[in-house]
Amino acid sequence: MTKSIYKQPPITEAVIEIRFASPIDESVYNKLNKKISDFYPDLKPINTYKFDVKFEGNHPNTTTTYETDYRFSSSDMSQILILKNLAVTVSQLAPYESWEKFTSRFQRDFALLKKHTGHREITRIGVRYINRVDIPNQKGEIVHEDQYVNIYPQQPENLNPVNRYAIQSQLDLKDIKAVLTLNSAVIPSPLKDHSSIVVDQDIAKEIDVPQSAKDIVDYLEIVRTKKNSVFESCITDKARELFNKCLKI
Amino acid sequence: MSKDLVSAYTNSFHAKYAEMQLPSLLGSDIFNKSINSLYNDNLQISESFSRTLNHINDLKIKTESYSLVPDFNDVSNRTTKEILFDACANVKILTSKVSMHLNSEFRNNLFIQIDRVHEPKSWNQDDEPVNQLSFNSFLRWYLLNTPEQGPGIGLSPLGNLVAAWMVGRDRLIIEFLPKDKTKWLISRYYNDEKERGSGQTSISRLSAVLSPYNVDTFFKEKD
Repeated sequence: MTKSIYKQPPITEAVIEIRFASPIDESVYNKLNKKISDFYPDLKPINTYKFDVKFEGNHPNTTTTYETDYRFSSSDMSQILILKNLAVTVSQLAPYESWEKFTSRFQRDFALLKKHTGHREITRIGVRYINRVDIPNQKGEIVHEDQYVNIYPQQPENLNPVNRYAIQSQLDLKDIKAVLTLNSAVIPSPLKDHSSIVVDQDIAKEIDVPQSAKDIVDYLEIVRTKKNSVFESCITDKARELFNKCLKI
Repeated sequence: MSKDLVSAYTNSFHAKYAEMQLPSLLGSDIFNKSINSLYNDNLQISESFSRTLNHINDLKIKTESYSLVPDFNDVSNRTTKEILFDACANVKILTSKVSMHLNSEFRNNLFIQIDRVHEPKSWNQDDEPVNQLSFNSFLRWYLLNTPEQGPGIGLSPLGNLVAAWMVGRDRLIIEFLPKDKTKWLISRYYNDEKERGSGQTSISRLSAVLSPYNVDTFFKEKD
């Protein structure tokens, strides 16, 4: 198993999302509020607008839908639980401490939800890890992404170097019957005198989706190994050095 | 820091705010019309382009990230308490983007101070909550300079973050403006004689500009 513990984990957000076949009644969420507020003191309804454009022949069909989700958060806003009509999302923003802490929070919240909803068919489990490599770049020079990541667009030699890029690939993870969607992009760095590259992976399972709490936990352990392996394959030793180098303290 | 001091210092400052009114746009006919007008009879869309767009839609990441999804809540009818909560929440989320580079003590202390200056009971209705762009300039400066001693945090009436350090009678006050700009004011005593200086510069130049005042005494951790 690939296991890497970095001094400064580059994870900007980790997400576990469970989707259900049938909607959860809002009254369940209201009951859940009291229980969950022990862990998440801040509750905020979030209005979500979804705008879709679909093309049928030459004609676009647009639909706008409106939903209210419930966002529970820790007072430092790093731990977030989102309850939606058809999904529950547990999110950890940086600082990310450990897989164990993150998944035990997920298990706790999911058990609470299940207590109120009873058994409900799960149609999808998504695990997403967004990582960012912050590269010191005081002179604002073009960063050679191949020195830090192994996922970048390949171009003819005469068209290099690339200023910025954003790529996405999707592949089947046949061994776990899941789909990996992998994004990599150069983004404006939140740090002064740095350049940043995002490596964003989403492992989604929609076939043979585990239904019991135990099976979900077992599946998540498999995903843990997989996502670590994917991430480690996507970065170079030069990037690893950055995760172990303290910017401050 | 007293609000009077901050007010006196910041009276002449101006900040620009750009606020997207997406909720009202999304709910209105204007939004639907403007989108539909992109695809009116004058614009022909090829089938291959349609297929490409649908293909892009299929490829998009489906597990929703929280940090990348914009909050489209209607901001027009919020109570003061909600406005203050949202302001604090937004800058905490902003901080999370660089939290891996911050020590937890500084982060916790920063959040305590941010919550304190946004306390609804003592909030002055004429003031603006923290401006995210100003807060961002502060974070970027902090990570560039990594002072051992964190500042006392205040807000200008326009919502710019004001950081202050005090050592004895000496004072250093920095107001962080949007887009990595700062205004600074320093007063120091040399042989019982007060010396003052002030100016405006970028976060990149601030350290060099303040160097004649030996500001390390403000930034070094006290025993």
